[in-house]
Amino acid sequence: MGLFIERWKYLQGYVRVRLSGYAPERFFNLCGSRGILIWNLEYVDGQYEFCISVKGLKGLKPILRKTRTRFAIKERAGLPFVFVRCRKRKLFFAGAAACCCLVYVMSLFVWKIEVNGNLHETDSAILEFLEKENVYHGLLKSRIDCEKVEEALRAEYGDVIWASAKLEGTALIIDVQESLAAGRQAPGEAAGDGAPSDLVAEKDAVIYSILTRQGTPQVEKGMRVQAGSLLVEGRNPVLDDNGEIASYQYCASDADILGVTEYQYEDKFPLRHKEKAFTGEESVSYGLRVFGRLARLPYFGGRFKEYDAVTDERAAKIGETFYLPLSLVRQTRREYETVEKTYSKTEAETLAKERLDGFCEDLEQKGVQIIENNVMIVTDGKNCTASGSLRAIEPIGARRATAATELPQEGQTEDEPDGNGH
Amino acid sequence: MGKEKKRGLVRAKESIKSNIVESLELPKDIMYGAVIVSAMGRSQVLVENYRGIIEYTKEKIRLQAKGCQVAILGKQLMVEYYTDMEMKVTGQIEGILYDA
Repeated sequence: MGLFIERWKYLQGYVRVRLSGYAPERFFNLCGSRGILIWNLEYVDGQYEFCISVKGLKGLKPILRKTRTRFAIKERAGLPFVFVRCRKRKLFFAGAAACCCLVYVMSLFVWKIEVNGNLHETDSAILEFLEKENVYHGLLKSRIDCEKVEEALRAEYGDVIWASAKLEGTALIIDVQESLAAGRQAPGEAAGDGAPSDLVAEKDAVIYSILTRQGTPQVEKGMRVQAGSLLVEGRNPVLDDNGEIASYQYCASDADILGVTEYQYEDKFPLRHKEKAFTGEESVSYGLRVFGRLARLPYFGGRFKEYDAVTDERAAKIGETFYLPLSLVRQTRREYETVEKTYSKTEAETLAKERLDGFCEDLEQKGVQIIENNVMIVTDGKNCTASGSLRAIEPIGARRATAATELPQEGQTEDEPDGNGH
Repeated sequence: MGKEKKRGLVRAKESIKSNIVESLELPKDIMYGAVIVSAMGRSQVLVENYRGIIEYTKEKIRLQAKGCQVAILGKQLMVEYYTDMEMKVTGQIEGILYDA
């Protein structure tokens, strides 16, 4: 607070004056009652010295007359006086103006796009998609239509159920909410356009369970289906009195179909392998990225034959969200040597098991439930081989447009004009 | 006789006022308009609710307040700022005196 007042005084400009005359105390009382602020008041050699703002100084005339006092200005301080002193330095003012202009112009662009809340889609995938939609770093802020961005995101990604885009400073912040049931058959998809569609098998499987909400199921539990065969048909037959099909009602079929599928697992790796042994030697090089262009600073570190490079990039920003098109790039190189090693039997088996577990985990994340694991791990003299099959339960329905059948609908179209005519 | 009566009336008025202030727990500084002197350490005194400056030298600042005068004694006294409501005095404070 105090600092703020100091700044304000400096900006407004103030003077230090020396007051002398008949009734200085009355002068101070009058200033107080008229709201003219006086500070750093001192009594020096029978006279009073104090600071007063330029504005306050102009309103002093009647008080001076009333109290028969006079003042002499001792010192001028503050920005207005600095300007007056520097008025001949034209380049200084030009520079200051150019700086203001530059900051203003820079603030018209988007320098950072931040994506929050995405679990299944990576940041880079979303940024790439946005680039296709003509939303990229360095775009004029006025060219961004946040609502369009939101719509595009929802349209592109089925599992994004909510998206929000907002501009904050020079950053475009995108918040998305993904459906928790992503990876399963999303019922939202079916409701999306409502066009008639069938569900077909994605792969060979034995039907484990089928629960149909809309459409005509064509398979039963326990049936063996092949990839591409029809599971649920998106049209319901309407029978007439003779039990013949009079017409079809079309719908977007919707069902939860689980099938038992089989995965072949084959993994083989040699026992002899190469490993990186870091020597502990490191070197750092720097670079600058301006408007997306990288300029490397000269590099004097050691030359390594083999190294891992880790690049850190730090964007310059003003405040929290005002990103400038300038960033510092720092590359750390860590030297290593390649060493040949041989796995022992237990090591190899643990590794094979880990790799298998990773494979299973990936499947489970896709909504596949593994029920049987028939993978054997065998280690011979040179290689470690894991092979076998996995049985799993997973959703197998895939959407396909329903082929419309011509015949029954003709009857319908003939009936309708008649009905209207009467 | 009349003078006595008047004085009694004033006293009664004041006691009613103080009763109200006490029972309603109203802020006393506002209700009485009394001067508030807050001293911080030896080097700073903040005076609120004063009426005016009577005298100001390096060694003594005398202020008019409601019902009394407050004198701040010390060395190298300096008024950091003052408004019509409050005044901040810094320097080497030696005493604060009240006289009627």
